[in-house]
Amino acid sequence: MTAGVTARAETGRRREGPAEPWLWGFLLADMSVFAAFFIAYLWDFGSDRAGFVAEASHLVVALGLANALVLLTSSFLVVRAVQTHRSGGDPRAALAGALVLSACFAVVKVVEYTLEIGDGHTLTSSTFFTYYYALTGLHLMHVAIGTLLLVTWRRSVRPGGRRVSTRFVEGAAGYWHMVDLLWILIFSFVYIGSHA
Amino acid sequence: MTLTAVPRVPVAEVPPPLSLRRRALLVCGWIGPAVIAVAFAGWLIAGVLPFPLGPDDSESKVVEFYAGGMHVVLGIGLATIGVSLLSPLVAAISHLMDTGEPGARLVSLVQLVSGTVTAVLLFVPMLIMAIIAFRPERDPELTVMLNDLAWLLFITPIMPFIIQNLAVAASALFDDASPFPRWMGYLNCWIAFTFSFDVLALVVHRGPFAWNGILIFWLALTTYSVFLLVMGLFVRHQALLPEDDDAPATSADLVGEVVQ
Repeated sequence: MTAGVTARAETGRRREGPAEPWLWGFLLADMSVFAAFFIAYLWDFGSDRAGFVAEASHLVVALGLANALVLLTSSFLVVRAVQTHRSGGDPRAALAGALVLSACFAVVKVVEYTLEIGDGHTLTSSTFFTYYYALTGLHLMHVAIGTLLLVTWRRSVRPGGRRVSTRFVEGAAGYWHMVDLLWILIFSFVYIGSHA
Repeated sequence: MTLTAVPRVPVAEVPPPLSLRRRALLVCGWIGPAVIAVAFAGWLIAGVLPFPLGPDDSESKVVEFYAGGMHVVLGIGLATIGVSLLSPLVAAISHLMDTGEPGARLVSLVQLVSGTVTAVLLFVPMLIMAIIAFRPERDPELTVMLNDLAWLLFITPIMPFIIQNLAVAASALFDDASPFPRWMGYLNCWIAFTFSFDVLALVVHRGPFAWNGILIFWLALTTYSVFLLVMGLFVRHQALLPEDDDAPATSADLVGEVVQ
């Protein structure tokens, strides 16, 4: 039975591309939901341009930009970790860096939320802020899931640990890049686009 | 009975009858599409679909809807039957998960429990709607309150269903002996994600995040239908697989083999 199971696991592995095709389908479907959010946002933005611009002026663009740079850097470190993992090396240093940056992202986000709520901008105070909290909150949930994947990966490469498969590593990295890409889009639509 | 009673058609051409287990699986599988068909029929008859009441609707509109006539009561009653068909499908999913590695049994139990809670949380709101339609001449404020109760109870308790999705995903992705293919694991993760923000309906009264909004009601309705269809047809597919690998083997079967 064990031999059969191993055989299934091996034949299930696509060697021509990273991770597995279904993972990429999942990421595309995940981003499609965000795309629906963006379309709804732009729809409402178009119907109340002045209101959205006035509300968006309360956001601290520098914090959004800082978080974009934080995630871009973490993505770079994850790429390095994948390369190291594939060559059989120890990716823990690069992963630790990515995890620290992930924590930085969360801290900046909490600071931002504290500032907004302190100024009286909550989930229901305006249509703009409903979108702001819905989009950034959903994204933060993705950061948390991505962080969990990176932690699982890092723990598995400890001495004596059971090393996760390359398929898992590539999947986790793909997910993390999606998290990064989504933030760039949220930053563009919500922070910058609303000033146009 | 003698040999002369053997039918004229050669035995090899007659498909062997399905075992009791497979017939039961087949019924449970068809339950998935049946839930969609019966519930949708009920909602269409009642007028819940295509345009459901929203949190922003006036008192008079809410009262008018429930006082609309016998078709409202009958439609909601039919939807009650539709959503309560869920439990056999939930049981069949766990039954199939049980054919994976023995270590994954706990995940199968998680699916069973969370799927059951989901079924209850879909059933009760339908019942509340039926109760609203039972006496629509009451104080309109009470009707609005009960309508809020029914809709928010229907849309926002998402966690049991998300746990159910993740249990199926865990079986598909981490149990190499699971009958569920890996793509179903990813599909369940995605469906869980499409439900994750439905709690927004607790605070938003209009627009895409309201309980009748496109990103809450319509997206969830679509992905839940996909879930029922895919899981149901997969259970059916498993029921019709060749008999030789009939599983799970019970300890009694194993004893029988040893004795033979």
